[in-house]
Amino acid sequence: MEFQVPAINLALLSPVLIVMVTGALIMLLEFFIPETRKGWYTWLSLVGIVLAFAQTATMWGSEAGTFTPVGGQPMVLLDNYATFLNLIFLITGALTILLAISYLRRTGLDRAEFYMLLLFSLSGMMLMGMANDLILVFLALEILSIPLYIMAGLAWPRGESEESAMKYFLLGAFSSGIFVFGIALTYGATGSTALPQVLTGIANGGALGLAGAAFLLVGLGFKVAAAPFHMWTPDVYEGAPTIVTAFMSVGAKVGGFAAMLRIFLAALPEIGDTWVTAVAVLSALTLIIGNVVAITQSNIKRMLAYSSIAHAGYIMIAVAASANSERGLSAALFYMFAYLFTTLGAFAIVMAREHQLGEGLQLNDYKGLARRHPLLALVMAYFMLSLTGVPPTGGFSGKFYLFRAAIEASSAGPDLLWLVLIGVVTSVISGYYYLRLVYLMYMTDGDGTLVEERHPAVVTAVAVTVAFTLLLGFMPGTWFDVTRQAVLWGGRLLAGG
Amino acid sequence: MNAFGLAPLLLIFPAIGVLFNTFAGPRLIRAERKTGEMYAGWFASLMAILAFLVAVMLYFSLRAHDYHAETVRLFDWIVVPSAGFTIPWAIQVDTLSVTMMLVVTGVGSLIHIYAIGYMHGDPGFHRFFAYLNLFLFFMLILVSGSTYLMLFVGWEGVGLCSYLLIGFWFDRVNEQGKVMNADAGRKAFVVNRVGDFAMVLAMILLFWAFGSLDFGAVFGSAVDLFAHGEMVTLFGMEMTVGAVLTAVTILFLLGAAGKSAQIPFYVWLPDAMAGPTPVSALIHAATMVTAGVYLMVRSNVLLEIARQSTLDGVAGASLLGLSGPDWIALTGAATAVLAGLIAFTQFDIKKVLAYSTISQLGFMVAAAGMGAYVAAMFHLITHAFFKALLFLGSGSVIHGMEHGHHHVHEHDHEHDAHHKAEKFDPQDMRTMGGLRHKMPITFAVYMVGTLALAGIFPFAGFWSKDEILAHASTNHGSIFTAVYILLTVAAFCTAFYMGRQIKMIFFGSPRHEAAEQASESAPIMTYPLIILAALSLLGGLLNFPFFTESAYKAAKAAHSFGINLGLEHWLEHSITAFALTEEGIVHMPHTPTWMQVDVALISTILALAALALAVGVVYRKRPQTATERDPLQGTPIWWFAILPFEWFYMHTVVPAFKWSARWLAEVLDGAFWHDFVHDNIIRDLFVGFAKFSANVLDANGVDGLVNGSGRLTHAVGAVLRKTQTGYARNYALGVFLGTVILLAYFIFAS
Amino acid sequence: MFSTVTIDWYVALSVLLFTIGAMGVLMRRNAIIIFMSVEMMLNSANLAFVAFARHLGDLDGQVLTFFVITVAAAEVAVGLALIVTIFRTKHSISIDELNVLKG
Repeated sequence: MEFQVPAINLALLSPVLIVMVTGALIMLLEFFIPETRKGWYTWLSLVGIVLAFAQTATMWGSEAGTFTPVGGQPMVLLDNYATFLNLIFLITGALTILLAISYLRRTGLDRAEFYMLLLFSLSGMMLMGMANDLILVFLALEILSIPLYIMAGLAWPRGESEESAMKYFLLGAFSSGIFVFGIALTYGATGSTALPQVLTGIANGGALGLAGAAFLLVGLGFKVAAAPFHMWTPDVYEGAPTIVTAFMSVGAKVGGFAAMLRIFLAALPEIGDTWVTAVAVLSALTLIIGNVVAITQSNIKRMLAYSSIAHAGYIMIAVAASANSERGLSAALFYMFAYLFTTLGAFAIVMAREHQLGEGLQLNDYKGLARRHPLLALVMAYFMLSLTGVPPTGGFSGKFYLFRAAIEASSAGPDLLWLVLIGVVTSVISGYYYLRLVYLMYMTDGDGTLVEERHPAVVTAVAVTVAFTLLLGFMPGTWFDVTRQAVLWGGRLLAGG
Repeated sequence: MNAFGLAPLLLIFPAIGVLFNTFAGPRLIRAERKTGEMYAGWFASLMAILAFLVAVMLYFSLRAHDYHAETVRLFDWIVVPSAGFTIPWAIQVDTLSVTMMLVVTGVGSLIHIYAIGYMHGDPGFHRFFAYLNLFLFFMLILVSGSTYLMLFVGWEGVGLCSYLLIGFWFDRVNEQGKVMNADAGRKAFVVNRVGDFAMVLAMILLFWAFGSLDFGAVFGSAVDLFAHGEMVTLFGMEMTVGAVLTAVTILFLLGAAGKSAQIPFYVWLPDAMAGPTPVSALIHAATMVTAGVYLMVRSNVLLEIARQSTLDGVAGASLLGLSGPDWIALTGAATAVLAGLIAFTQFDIKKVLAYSTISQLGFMVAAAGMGAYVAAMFHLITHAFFKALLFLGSGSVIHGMEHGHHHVHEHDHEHDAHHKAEKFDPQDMRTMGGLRHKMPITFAVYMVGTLALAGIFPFAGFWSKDEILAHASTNHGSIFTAVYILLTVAAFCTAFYMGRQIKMIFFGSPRHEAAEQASESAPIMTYPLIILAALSLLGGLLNFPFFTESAYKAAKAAHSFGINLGLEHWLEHSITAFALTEEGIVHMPHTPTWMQVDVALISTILALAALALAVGVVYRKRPQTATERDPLQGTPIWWFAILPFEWFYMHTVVPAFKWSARWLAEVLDGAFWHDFVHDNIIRDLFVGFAKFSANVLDANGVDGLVNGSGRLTHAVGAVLRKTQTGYARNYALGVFLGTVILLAYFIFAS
Repeated sequence: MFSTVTIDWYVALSVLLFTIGAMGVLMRRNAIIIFMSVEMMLNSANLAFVAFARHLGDLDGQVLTFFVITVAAAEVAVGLALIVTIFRTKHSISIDELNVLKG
């Protein structure tokens, strides 16, 4: 057997490599940087992310693949879709680090491994959007997850943090076992792991391929916290340090969707109604469970965990719609973009209320906050409105595009109007728990305060999240055009774009 | 002269006011209370006055421009290049929108000034004015928008301001420890959401049917399609324009029923009186609640096409045999009577006025539904004058009573403990009496307002109410007859409850120490009252009718109408249905242009009789003391007026529902289910359901809907929550079962 | 004799291993045994990879096995570290003791 070296173009991977190398650098420097100079880690990782961001931005508009075996498909794709997602991840990483500075210092968790693990996880997320081969999807998934398992337990020996890490790890490993088995089955059915070949093969691969497809959907459904694979989410989110919760609620979820959408994108137009219906039903279940159980919560992190489950349900509406609507994928990208800012912004306020680790996290701790911190309470109220989907917020625009895509898709494929209806009704339900927080802040009395120290980094991060939520609310058209660009390949729309 | 370019200032001035009072207000007031209040209050008032001046300039520009509507485009709001679709942010300057702008900013300015006096010393002074300016901002967006979407933005915005201002004193707690004001705000908000949902549906229908939300484009395309008898495709179905527009008008009715407090959503408005009195006057009487009427008048083309489609028997263009506008007219008329009756039974000075507002809004909605758009706007304007006057007057009375109460306290130290224990409600009319000597200015202006509201010649209310009644009586058809009878009854009720009110407040002798010690309010409060009183007296001149048919014909021949029918000639440039009628595309009902003497006589006699009955007979000698029963209490009228709420629902629907729920729960429990299911599903859900029904349907109305549906969802959530056991193995089981089901689905579905 | 063992047998064995692994995760309380069960699930996939690679005459599947093994090793490293940490505070490795967060 003749061995041929596949074509490799490392320049395409440069953003991922920058992030990875920065992480490794921090790991090494930990031995040399004195205890009193912990700020260096922060700035170093920020520099890495900014460099990667700049590098990614220059790639906007380019389309290429690399790690192409002879006669095969490239394993890594770099198109606008991947670039856009990379930008989302890098923004998430940068905002998380900005928010982390004062939080970690205050809670005594300011350790090098936080930054290191964050960067490693970030590189995994970036690979999720670029992977065009199931085995690379699996590797990316693990690179994304394993650092998160550790980060969830960062606050050891706190019981909650340890429990959160353990549960996340156990269930994560279980679901990746299922995912790998799915890869094995689809490989057996189609003789390949390259996404386009696998997915076209599944259609005529018989039961083996279909079983594999189901397992793949479970693995990704777990990552994005879709019901009934969502049950780890509330416990893990509650127990993990809040900064980690913030990072994972955006990064891990968008990462999961990056792969899920890529699979849909690669499999189109052969994708069958079976997939669409399966995703639609999961979406409906996720919407209902997420929103209804969120009502009963009294801990804000838990409430936001259920809220993040619910938002996975909304994004899945767009995933289901992308099979038959031209705007499904871009609607999903737009929604995730808006979700990123709103969620991180909300968590920023949650962290400001958390004077000490695990303290001030009850909803009742927010009573009367508006009187003492009118501006921040207003910001929080605005984020809550955005999460509910009230105009003019990014959350509203996201829901608008998403529902429109689903309505469009209904005329060309399986009916999704029922799903839209569920989406609308559950949005109304969600208003109940989001606005309850607003009610508590504005209409009741209490003695809770936010931390006095206003670190410039935190102020910057909050300002950015507010600005983008406003921007996406007031000028959604401009940004939707960007997401439209993100699903272009070779000047024409990707299938399902 | 052309001042159209100034139109954006209309929105900018109130916006500046909001920013000023949000950021500078707290500092000013903290630095020096008295001057700070002056700056904050007068700055906000100045912004309102400037907006009024802009509206006035727009008025003159329109006149100079031969009444041609002008659209001032500010920027593109929603742009979807791929679909070639743009929704601009644009201000429509036409005679209808300018009319609304003048009312909103004019009455708004007076109320701003009044509020400087009324809110004096309140810790939230600057917040109040920031909200008030914010309200103006959104209300002006509502009336000036050139698309339904902009109208809706304003619609939601004023709803938000209403919520904030009803709950302005959100920390006030009643005896049971409930935050009554915050609850009232929430109730208003939630009730309005239901109506707003209908609005959203209506907009979706319009957009799908006509491909635009722009007023001009929607109306133009509706007329085109209707005139050519073409169909539109909705949800893959061919539908007639008439059917679509019937649905749209019914949805508009629901939307307006929320915002303008009509059956079945009127329940929020009486509770909304928890807000400060200037808010009740501005938002819950003069302007915001009329948004539903504005919506109807603005959509006159759609209403007329819907009416014509029903007359032509177009497929699907009716609901239970009646056209959309017929439903609107009947709903308005029924609301007018029902609210008028309920007003008999109220003791709170502001609640009487609140029900009166609901009743008068019923007149306007009925007028719009009957095609009397000019009459509806006419009544809207005069009502804004005299109802603002009455509310501000009642505020002055409340102020006086509170003042009197404090006075009693200061001079009564030995009885201090006694007085603290005693509960005093400055809004309870039973504790008033004889105030005409203590508060002469307030009394005089209140009388003007009362006579205007009761429809006594020659006050403003007489002319506008009469135009609606004349319209109903001169057009033929059972709907018009029914509306005419209902509105005449409502007019009688109006005069009666107002007679009752002035008797209880101003006449007789004081029934409480506070009333004995009451004193007149400050000039900053009384001057706006006097201006409003003048407007209430002269408002009829706006659309002064001809007295005889021959006078009308002579004027028409001479093309000179003088001051007569000013509003009609002004508004006809915006009410496109007039032009359509001339072209013969639709046949809208005709409003008589000269006075209908018989109608005017009947309503005037009835109003005078009702006033006389209230003041001179029923309440002549009573009540003598604050605790005495109302003379009507226990009589059939009393029971009839409160029947729809308490008696009917509490004694029929609620027990039946409770009984069946309990029966189901017991049977199912005994026969099938073990304790877990019983406790967590059956009991919680059915008790939730029973409570839900009880709360929704009882007198608390929709306050219960919030808690009830919340509780229901909460119960479901609590059950689902139990699956989250905390054991990782159970979570893995969830993943596993999900996998198995997906697997089975994938294999068997393909 | 050897030729009678067709690909179907390998797939059946791999499915069996996968199921045993999954059941182990669902039923056992000891965290270490649960990890071993997860390992068994991953290795059932490895078995399937190799069997399919042989069946298809394709090298890819065999290479994939190494990736899976590497990842599994990384997972175990993290998992054991977590167990040790938790054992220090709780003096137990039963996952049912981790039951503070719920609802």
